[in-house]
Amino acid sequence: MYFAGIDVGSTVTKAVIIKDDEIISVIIRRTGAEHRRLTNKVMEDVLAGPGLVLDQVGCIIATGYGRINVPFSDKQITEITCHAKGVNWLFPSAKTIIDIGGQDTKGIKVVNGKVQDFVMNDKCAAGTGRFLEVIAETLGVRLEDLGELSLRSKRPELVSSTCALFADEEVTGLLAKGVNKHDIIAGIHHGVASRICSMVERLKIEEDVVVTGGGAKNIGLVSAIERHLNLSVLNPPEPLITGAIGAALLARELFDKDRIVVKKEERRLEESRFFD
Amino acid sequence: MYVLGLDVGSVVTKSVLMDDRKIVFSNTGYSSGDFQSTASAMIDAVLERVDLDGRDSLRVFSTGCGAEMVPSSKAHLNDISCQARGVNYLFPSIRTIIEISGRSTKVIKVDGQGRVVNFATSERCAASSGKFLQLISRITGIDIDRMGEVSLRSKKGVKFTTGCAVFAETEVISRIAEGITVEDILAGVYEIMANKAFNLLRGIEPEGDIAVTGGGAKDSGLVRAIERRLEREVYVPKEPFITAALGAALIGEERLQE
Repeated sequence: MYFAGIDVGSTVTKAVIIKDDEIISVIIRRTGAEHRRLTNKVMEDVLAGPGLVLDQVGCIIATGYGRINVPFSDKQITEITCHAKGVNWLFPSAKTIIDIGGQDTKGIKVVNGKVQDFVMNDKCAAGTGRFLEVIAETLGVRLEDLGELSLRSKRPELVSSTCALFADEEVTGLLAKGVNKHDIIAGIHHGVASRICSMVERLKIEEDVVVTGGGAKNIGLVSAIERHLNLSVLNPPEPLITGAIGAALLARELFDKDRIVVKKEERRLEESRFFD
Repeated sequence: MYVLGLDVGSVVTKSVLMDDRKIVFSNTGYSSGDFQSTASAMIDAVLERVDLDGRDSLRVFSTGCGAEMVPSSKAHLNDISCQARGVNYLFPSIRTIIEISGRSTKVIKVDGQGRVVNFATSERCAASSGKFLQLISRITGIDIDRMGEVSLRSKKGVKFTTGCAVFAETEVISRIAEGITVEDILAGVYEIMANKAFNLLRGIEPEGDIAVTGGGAKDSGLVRAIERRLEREVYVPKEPFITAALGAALIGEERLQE
């Protein structure tokens, strides 16, 4: 039996199909303005990989910021629950999760794959991927290159502003003064890491700590977090999909325990148009 | 005795020349990155207008984030004390001040003598500063000086889901794409800022008459949004920029008499 999880994030949409405790298909795509069309397309593609059709999937769980807009899902579950489940499956030793998303950052305490406590910032761009996006644009570098570039820094230049807009201004000033990009980026990672850590420290941090979300792909940010917390963190092979994995696992669990009534005839997967 | 109050702000520098507790002349100009030369230019402008026996007879008291960059200043005064004193001079009945400037929002409780009783500041968040309005002006294409009046045409402001300037930028662009009118968008933006001021105000338990000052007070849309949020009218000085400079001159004059 196949099970699917789809995580519609503010920035990236991810879908996963599992069979017998194994991931058999993964799709990751940038969330555009037209959520609904994109989720359809992502689902079609994740099915197409292993050559499946929708009806072969036993249960589909949607999660993430856009989860209510998934007309082919059988149930919606919050991303915090799904992350905890997915991370626990990958790393049974994990007790604390730091999820750094495009527009929010969360700290989650996990016990046996269940959420014990969590903290979250979705009110302010500081400490989220969005902050790094703003700075990357001003520096004229790609978001995905920030990590590598920061590792070349010899003398990180601290950026004191909390707000992304003020920091952006500060960075422009530093560039004008001739400070090099590597040092600015290293300073930015230090600032973002310190904001993330001071939020997550409201939970009692216990090892192992796992970092997920787009932020986990930034090696400079991850090592800044490790320095702040004074410990080593675990990093999933693909940190974007832990929520989608958790959703698929929960789909299987609910189905196996007969705790969900799946009405396949009510699922709606609209065919994508030619230009999609 | 001529006393010049000079408020060197992050965006605008303001000067007020007083003689015997009366305003003789006031002036504003952009802080051009170099606070020291901006201050010198402001002082020269005053010297041109007023007949003094040279620069030495002009007593300068500075305040604001660039206060220490004014070489001829007799003292660097605290900007919150200056703001309180300046507003008290114009409106003795005011007990609460909301100052919205280029980089911050401050709320100040003041007594009948213009002394600070309590205050709170928000300097970390662009959504409670003029910086947010600059950003919105850029993405809506409406001149910042016209945004207020445009917003006043709105019947139903947009309810934004965020209080963050960066996230609001994305939401504004989405609303524009959906065809929502710019007046409704601007009204929603002012509501975000009014909420920020309101939340800051709650921390100091405001009382009595309320005045709005700083560059934000020049924005009729923002002032209206604050009034709506507070469910009361507020006082706005004719020259809301210069209250701290005015306070600096008043406090300076007192110091010289001591």
